[in-house]
Amino acid sequence: MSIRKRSGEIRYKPIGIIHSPFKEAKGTPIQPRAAKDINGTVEVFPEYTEGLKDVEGFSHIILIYHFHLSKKLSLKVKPYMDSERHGVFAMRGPSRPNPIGISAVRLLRIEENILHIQDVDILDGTPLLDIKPYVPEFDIREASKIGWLEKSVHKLPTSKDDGRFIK
Amino acid sequence: MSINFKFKQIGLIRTPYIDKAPYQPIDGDKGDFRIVLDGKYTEGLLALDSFRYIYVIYHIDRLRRNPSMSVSPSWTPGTKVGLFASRSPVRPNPIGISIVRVKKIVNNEIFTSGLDVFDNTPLLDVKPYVKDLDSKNDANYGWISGLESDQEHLLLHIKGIPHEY
Repeated sequence: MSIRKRSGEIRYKPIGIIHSPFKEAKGTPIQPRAAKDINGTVEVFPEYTEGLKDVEGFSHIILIYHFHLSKKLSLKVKPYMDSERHGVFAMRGPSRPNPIGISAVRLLRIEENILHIQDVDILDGTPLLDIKPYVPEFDIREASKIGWLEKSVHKLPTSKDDGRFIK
Repeated sequence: MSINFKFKQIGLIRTPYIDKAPYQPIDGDKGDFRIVLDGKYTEGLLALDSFRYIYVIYHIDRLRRNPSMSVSPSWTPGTKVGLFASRSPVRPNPIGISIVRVKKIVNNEIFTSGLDVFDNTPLLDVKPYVKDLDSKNDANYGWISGLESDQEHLLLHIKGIPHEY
């Protein structure tokens, strides 16, 4: 059941660094809703500053980043908020075949190449890969099913990373 | 900076689009839209079918241009905006994200609603879409709301849906 692969490697480079009060995985909120009101900054490398024009008009942005501290992959994982194991693709945790993270955060303001953001659930020093504007038409879905999270989503405001996913 | 991170293709995305694809996913799009995961990752799909929507993350591999920090979205000619204020596929790291509906999962295949990518696009990741985390109900439309056209008409352009007015 192996699939036909493209030739050549996929390599991405950091375009900036995310700064937050969370210096280690332990204690970091696991999603932006749990990270409400936590402020951070995104430092975009100067060669990309011009690409930030017009970003300031958006109330929210999507950050795509490299989970640089994720540990060895396991396809079935016990998530933070449940006692049963789930497939890694049914979870948002950092230990994945490709450790790519996505967070939608509130944008407060931009000064030159520094974006001031709120509702940050990202570790300090995380390498940034991309910024996309959050557009309600594309990014809001009326998902009435939230899967296995349904019975534990109320735990979010207090669930913190206990360090289980780092090396 | 010369640091870079290596990622791997974990599957591919099958769509009817060979030469032209919509700019954004169209939920009611007709055709066969499937994510084919490399068989060795099948176990990782456990419980994913309990979610209605998923993020599909992929490598945009059919680009012929280098990124420019200033872009003119094809659906609004003449408007110039910063690259990161746009969803243009031509970016320093060509990572695409689409939110689609899960229809069913059979073995290593996820059948979905319409995807806005070319056939055989390399898959990087799949994540559940969680309304409580991902829906920002007070989000605005940034520079898009400043354009002189009605929102509904603009959205047809943004999504690349053909229309006659």
